[in-house]
Amino acid sequence: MDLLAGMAITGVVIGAVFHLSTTVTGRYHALQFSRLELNDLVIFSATLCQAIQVAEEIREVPGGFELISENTTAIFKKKEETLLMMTNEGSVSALKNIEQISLERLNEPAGASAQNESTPVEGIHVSCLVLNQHTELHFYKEYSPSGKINHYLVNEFEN
Amino acid sequence: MLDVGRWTLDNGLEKFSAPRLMGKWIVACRIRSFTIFESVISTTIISVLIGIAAMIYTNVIGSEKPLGVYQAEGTIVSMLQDLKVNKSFFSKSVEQENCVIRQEVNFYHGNKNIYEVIYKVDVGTKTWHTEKHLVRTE
Repeated sequence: MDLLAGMAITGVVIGAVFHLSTTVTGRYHALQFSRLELNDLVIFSATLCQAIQVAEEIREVPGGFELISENTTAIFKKKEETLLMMTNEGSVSALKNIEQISLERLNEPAGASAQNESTPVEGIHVSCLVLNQHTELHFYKEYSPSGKINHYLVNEFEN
Repeated sequence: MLDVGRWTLDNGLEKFSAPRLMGKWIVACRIRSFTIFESVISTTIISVLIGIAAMIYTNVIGSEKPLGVYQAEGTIVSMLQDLKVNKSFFSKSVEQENCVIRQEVNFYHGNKNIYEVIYKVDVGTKTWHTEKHLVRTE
């Protein structure tokens, strides 16, 4: 009888400790996973924001966009569900689970069909899945007022 | 006198029950029995330790910035661009999922040529994100 009672108490204690450790480990892994995904999002957002500020112009390329600056060129292209960043040094995966990339050209409303392929891009809209939730990221390049007017005049003459 | 928890086997060896063995072990290790005062102190110490552990656990879990805040940060970029393009310099509040984005527009230190645009992201009663921009009025 004593042996049985001892076994029962020991079993309950071991079960409780096992359940507690399993729960804590599960929460830890979930936290780590969400932290990693959010880190990817923040790093991508900061990298692209900084690259856009440095770039002199943004142009559309098939499947993505290109950041043109004086010495370097970075091309961001969507390949399946991954956004690849291609530079002179090679290509890296910038962000995963990409759903759509839409571009907003200078002096044109978002979603309008391009009148001229050479028109610089002003806004970049990236929609992606983060922690299985739809997330929208928006980036804008601030061109100088004179640049905007010059581009408008160039288009006016071409048309 | 009946000796509880002790038997003599056929081969002459003695067998003891588990409580009796534990009692013998306690006696052998010279562990004193606890007084109520000592028990209260030990219970208090254990409670404090469990409380500290629970507090650390709750803070670690709660330190995570909600995903809605990251989504709101994306919306703020779009709102700021809309404000600049459409010259819509007014304060407003936008609800997005479980977040509330507050846009506050004021003149920067009374200077009527510059607007100070402040964005705040609230989840419940806590403000998770604040950013400030200066925009020319012209």
